[in-house]
Formats: sequence, structure tokens, C-alpha cells
Amino acid sequence: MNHLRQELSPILPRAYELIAARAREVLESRLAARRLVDFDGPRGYAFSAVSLGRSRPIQVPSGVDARLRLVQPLLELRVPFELSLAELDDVDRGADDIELEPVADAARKLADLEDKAVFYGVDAAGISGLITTSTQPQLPLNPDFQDFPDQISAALAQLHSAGVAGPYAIALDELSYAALLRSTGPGGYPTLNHVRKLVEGPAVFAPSLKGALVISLRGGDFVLTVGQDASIGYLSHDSSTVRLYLEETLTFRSLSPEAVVPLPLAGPR
Amino acid sequence: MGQGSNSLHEPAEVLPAEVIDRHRAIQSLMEELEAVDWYDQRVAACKDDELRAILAHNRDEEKEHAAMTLEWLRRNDPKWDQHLRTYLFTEGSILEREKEDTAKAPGSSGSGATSGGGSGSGLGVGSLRGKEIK
Repeated sequence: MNHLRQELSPILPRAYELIAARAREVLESRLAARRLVDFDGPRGYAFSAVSLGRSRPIQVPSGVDARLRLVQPLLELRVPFELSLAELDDVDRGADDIELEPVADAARKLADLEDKAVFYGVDAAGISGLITTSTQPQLPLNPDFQDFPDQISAALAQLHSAGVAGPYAIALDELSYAALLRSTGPGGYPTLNHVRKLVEGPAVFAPSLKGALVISLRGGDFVLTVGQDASIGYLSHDSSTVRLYLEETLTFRSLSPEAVVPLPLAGPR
Repeated sequence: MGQGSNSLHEPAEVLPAEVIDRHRAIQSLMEELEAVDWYDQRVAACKDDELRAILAHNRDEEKEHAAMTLEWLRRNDPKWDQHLRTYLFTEGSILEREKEDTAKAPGSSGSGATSGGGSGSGLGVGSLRGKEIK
């Protein structure tokens, strides 16, 4: 048994598989940052910090030069949720419409926490985000999205000017993504296809983002380090309810802040 | 991919970049292991001492190449990571190890539904690099 204590849970095997499958389904559809940055891991729950390869001097008693190695610790995220044991027992009775919305809610929350950490950082965890560290001038998106391809082209030109090679990807929040899906160019050609050709890479739905961004996928620029990848743990149960949680440990480093161009939405939304 | 590697089983244009990279790694690993096997047989058969030493040296370098490629695969595929963590550098019966690992999983299904998280009990999400939502 490990710290997740899954073996102590009263959940029947088939029900557990449904819970895990639902969590995985939501995470894989919701997680956006993992589609854009290098993924380092999973390195295991015991992995606590990333070495930064740097040090700083510290004061120690006379005659000794002392330096402290610098590391970036991993952030532990836990999202608790509860499920009805009676509902889960119905799996063994053959029910195929089990109520798993608490699992989906927890998975959405965990995905959004990870994405926000990558996009905007977490000060208390020493994480600086993609958007907050970008050294590229921001290119505000017009709220009517009429000149979307021109703005993407301008972002790509900025990356080229900075010597940042492709392929590239674009990530869009809900509003921008919906606008891009319904938008067409001259002759009815879908703007989404036009944008994909421009960036030579995927258009990623990123609900935790505000606006959009264009990023290089050449690799080596941004690293998401994961210790314990998304996992289900057991907290407690009584005669009617089981309390579980989704857990992940992670940190993020922006190594080349010039390799992403933020495109925030301009004006009122 | 270039003409040097025409072993893809699906059209390259429908395959994500990470799948093609894993294919490159797997293909390289296969070639390194095959080379190890060939050298091993030549070393066993060779009668010239100096040539046999060179062949053995070359064979062992191929083992290093294979290990490096396998490590790259582990870092880029959560399932490789999970299975290698389970079986490598262990002692005793490997088949018993498999039974223990299967029994550990909730539901004892061994389906991998709860594996791959770095402690052998994650959901196996891993890298989604370059993937669009289907």
C-alpha cells in the first residue's frame, strides 16, 4: 500500500474502474498546458524538487565559503470529492448510469489548477507562469475576432524575430475557441484550418486561459515536471459515503520566456 | 519521416509528432538490440583474439545505446515508466512480481486503469504534447 491508501477504500473493483475511467476522461479532455509544454515525469511521489543548477552564498562561521544549492519544490495538489456508496454498489447490480459528476468536477478542478499554474504561475510555490514571464510584447485580440489570422501571423512574426523556431501551437480560451470554430474566411474556408496551417501545429482548447497564446513546440523552452501524476486516493468512509481525492504533484519552469506570445482579449468580454 | 525510415504502419500525416518520435526510438532500440545479438554471436565464433576483443567492445557499446534509448522511452511514455519501475532492478521471481503488482491495483484487475502515476497507482494521463482535443 502507498500513501493513496486505495486498498482501504470500500469501493468494489468494477466501480473503482468506472471512477478512474471518468477521471481520466475528463483530465485528458480538459488539460491544456500538457499539450503545449515539455512533460517531465512522472517521477514519483517521493520526488520533491527540481534542481535549478544554481546556488547562492550563505553566511557560515569564519573562513569558509558556503553556498546553498537552489531547487524548485514540487507543489502538492489535492482535490477531495465524495461519492454515494449505495450508488457505487449499483454497479454490481448492473447499473450503467452511475452518478460520477463529483469525480468529473474534481478532475476539472485539478486540470484547471495545473493549467493555471503553468499559464499564470503560483507565487507561493515559486512557480512563474508562461504568460507572466513572457518577454514578448502582448498582442491584444479584437473582441470580434475578425482579424484572427492576421494577429496569429503577427505573433508568429514576433517569434521568428526572436529566433524561436517552430512548429508552433495556439491555445485559446472558451470564448476565443468558440469564435474560431464558427469563423470563416474568404470563400467560406474555416478560419480554424487557416490558423492550424499558420502555426503548423494544434489549436488547443484552454479554458483556464484568458484570451489566447501562440507558443513554440520546438521543445526545451517550458517544462512541466510531475512527481505523482493524477491519482485517486482514499480519505475515509461511513455507511453511506466514501471520501476520495484526486492528487498530483508538479512544478513548472519557463526556460525561454521569449518562446510564447500572449494574446489577451482586448476590451470588455 | 525521411526515406531512411519507411517502417510506419499508418500514414505519417495522421500521426502525432510524439508517436513518430516514439517510433524512431523503438526502431532504434530494435536495431541496437539486433546489433548486440549479432556481435554476441560473432564474438563467440571469432578465433582471432584482437578482433574478438574489438567485436566485444562494439557489442557492449550497442548495449549502452539501447539503454539510453530505453530510458528516453521511459521518460516519454507513462506505461513504459510504470512497467520498468515494476520489473527492473528487482530480485526473485519476475512472474511473482507480476502477480503482486496485479494484486496491488484496486479491483485487482491489472487493467492499468489506476496505474502510471509515478507510484504505480496513477491514472496514466502523462504527456499530451501536441494533441488536440478530439
